[in-house]
Amino acid sequence: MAIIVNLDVMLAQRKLKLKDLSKQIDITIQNLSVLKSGKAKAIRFTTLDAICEALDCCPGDILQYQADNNTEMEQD
Amino acid sequence: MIIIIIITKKIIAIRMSDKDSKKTQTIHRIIRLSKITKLMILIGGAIHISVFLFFVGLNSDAVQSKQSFGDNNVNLSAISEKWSSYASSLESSGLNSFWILGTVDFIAQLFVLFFLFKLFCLYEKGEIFMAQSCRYLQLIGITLFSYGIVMIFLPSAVSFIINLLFEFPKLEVNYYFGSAELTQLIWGAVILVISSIMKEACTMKDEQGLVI
Repeated sequence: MAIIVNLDVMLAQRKLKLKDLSKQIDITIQNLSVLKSGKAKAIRFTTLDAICEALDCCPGDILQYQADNNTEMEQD
Repeated sequence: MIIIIIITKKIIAIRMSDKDSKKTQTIHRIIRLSKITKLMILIGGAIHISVFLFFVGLNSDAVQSKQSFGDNNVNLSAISEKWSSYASSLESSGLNSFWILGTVDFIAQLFVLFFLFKLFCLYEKGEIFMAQSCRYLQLIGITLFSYGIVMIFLPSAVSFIINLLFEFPKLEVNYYFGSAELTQLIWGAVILVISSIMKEACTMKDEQGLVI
């Protein structure tokens, strides 16, 4: 997928664990793990809002767009 | 230490009860109805098998649809009125028409009952939109559809085999295609389509689970 989740990077920068974030934003560690591993299909605005508030960052810091090779080839 | 363990266990128990209470009323209704349906399927299957075995063993004039065991009629289309002339010619050849014509019918119905039973076992557990339940629905559809096709060509196949194996007066090679066979095919096709829709719903549900 072209969207990359940088949650692990943000957590590492803040020296936080997934467990701590899970407690702060009241989302299960399993769901956060799915999000971190990039398996998530979608993210709710409320979840994004809570993560941004807890990590003091912007959505762009967590989500990053990286074009797939296939997409690039289609555009060419 | 013991106190901590007890407290942890109590917390887990409270969470479990919370989860139970979160189950919607609809799910509870489905579970309740599934239990009743499963029981009915079980009783139906038992009656079906016992009645069939009773008549196969009895080898009486089991060619008419009016054959019954107490109040339970044998609901096999292969021994219904329209087949009676064909069954009579088998009987006149000294063959057990009930066994020959009824077995395919019986097996197909048994398969459908078995898949229905397994399906409702899953529903009883609350596993509604699961890949396995879609699979059972698909199997029911396939069984019904193929059963419809088999019932069209069963007389000709039976005649052909009997003419080939025995030296009785030759049986007519014919096939039946009427509203009953068509209804069977329609039901098979409808259930196959529903199973595909269920499969799509399962995929959507799985994706919904990945929305954080």
